[in-house]
Amino acid sequence: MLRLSLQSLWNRRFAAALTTLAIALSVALILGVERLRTEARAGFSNAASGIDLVVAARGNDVQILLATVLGTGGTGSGIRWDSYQMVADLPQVAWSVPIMMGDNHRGFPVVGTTADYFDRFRHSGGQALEFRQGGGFSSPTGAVIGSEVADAFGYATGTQIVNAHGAGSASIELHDETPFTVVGLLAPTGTAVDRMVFVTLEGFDAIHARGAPRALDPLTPPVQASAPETINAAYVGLTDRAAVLTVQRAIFDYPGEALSAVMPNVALLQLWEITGTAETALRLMASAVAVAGLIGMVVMLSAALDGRRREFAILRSVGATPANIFVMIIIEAVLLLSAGVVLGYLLMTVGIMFAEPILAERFGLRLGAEIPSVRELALVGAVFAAGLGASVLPAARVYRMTVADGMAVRL
Amino acid sequence: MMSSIAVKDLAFHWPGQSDPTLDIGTFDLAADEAVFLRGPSGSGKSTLLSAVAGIVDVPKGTVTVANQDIGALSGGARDRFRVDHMGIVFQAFNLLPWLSPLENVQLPCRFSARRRNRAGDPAAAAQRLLPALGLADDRLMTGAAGDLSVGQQQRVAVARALIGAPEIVLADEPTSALDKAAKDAFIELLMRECAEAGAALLFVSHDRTLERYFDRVVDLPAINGTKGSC
Repeated sequence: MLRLSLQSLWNRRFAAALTTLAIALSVALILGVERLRTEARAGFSNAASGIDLVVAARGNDVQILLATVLGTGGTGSGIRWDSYQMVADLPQVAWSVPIMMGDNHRGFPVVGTTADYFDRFRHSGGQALEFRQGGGFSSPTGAVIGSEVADAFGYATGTQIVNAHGAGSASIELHDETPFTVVGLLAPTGTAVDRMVFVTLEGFDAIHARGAPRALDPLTPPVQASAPETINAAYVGLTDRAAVLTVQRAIFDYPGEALSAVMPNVALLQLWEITGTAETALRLMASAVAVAGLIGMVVMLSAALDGRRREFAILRSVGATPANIFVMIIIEAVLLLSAGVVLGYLLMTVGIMFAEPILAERFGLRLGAEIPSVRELALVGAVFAAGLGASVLPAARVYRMTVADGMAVRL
Repeated sequence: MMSSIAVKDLAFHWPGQSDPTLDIGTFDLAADEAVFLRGPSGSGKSTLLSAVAGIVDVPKGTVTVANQDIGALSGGARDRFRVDHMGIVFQAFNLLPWLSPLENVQLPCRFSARRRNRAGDPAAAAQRLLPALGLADDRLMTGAAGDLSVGQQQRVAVARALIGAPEIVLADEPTSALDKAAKDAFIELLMRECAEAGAALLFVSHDRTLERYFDRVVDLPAINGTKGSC
């Protein structure tokens, strides 16, 4: 039966190839969307991987996350330097990176921090920051530029830049008395880091200090290398991640100031749930495409049936029972579906191979050619089962037709 | 002599028709016998053939083929019995155009274990039958059946009916599309092959010029009690 089905399909290879292609496209799309969705979610929740806690003034978790990791909005009030010292000195804290915010460079957020930031920050599932050009801060007036900022204005190492007060681009008060020199350009990450300008804590603080000396005399340091009075937030890494709740509690209970300690991956997932509509829309689209592909298969099988009435009658006349012919149609559907699924998987893999560099650079999505996940296998299984279910329709029609035709001896 | 086909008191009418198409007291076909069943169009020849082949429902005890009461079999069992015991040559030959002649010939062996076993190796049996029927060209045997001439298709159809040595060969006006010379050649071929295979032959036609080749001629209107409407 299998050989007969194969030969019959080969006889209609053009239509069969088109059907296989339609199924393959649906499978590729549904798997591609699924992988994109999983990776987007994973990438998003890993946007601040490596950071165990973000400490800021008491406030809403998601808001703190938006401000400190995604560079959107502010943290409200700042936290005192001694509060930060308290956190940094906790025995379970392995490292901490202070963060200052509130300025912008031509509309892009400026972050005051220490050189540790570039070592500690992880994005897109554990990737460390890389420099496209130059390196971290070497002097208090050094600035490190995210890739999008660098591309927008054509900055390179050595370029002098000036920041403005306030978070928006329409700021009037320019800190043009304290310029920074670009010392490093970051490679694209596909995250908010690409749109940030990093300066030293000292530099960030000094431009706000009253009567800061102008950096014209090369013999005097342009800014004071002292700790600022307040910062906006701090990234904290722990010696043991299991201690995260203990540390969180200790920070929350700190009597000197009202503080929040946010677990970034938890807050990111909260944020993801808020934006989950897009995800649902994606899945709906993929399902609609899969349904269209399957309908295509049913149409192809059904449309061919009338033309194949003679073929079935001949098979009946040489001994095929209606059940044999039913099985033949089902075998045909299984062959088409199998070919479609395999081709679709290959299409998706090849598509991802080509799209990966672009997706990684623009959106920070890293889609590896991974082995299929259980969910993907379940999706493929569902497409297969739906296709098989759908092919029973034409097969049942043929069954009735061949029984009614009987053995049409005079065809 | 054991009879291949025995019809007794068969009254048959098509669903929705009040007059019976067939009303036959007795009709027999002995094993090894070649019978020419003649009658004008609409005299019920094809209906009788369908009754014998188990394509239409007949009452129990009226049609016996190879010692099997056809009326006692279910639809599926009749399908199996037909391919196991009967080879059929159709008027339009009914070859699958996208299979090669060799594959067309082997088709009954795909669906019938009995025919397969009797043929031994179906591929070898087809390789033997086709040249015996005058189709020896390897290119023709393995090409598409749709490319064959009418005469060649006929030979393939006969080979398909004979493969696996069925007890009975039924032929339904297989010569209607042929000229006189081709007709004679075809009948000679069919007779010879059936005799060699030891198969009984029931040949249905309205062409009386072919009668001389057969052991016996049966005039259907003479044994059919009805006027015949189909």
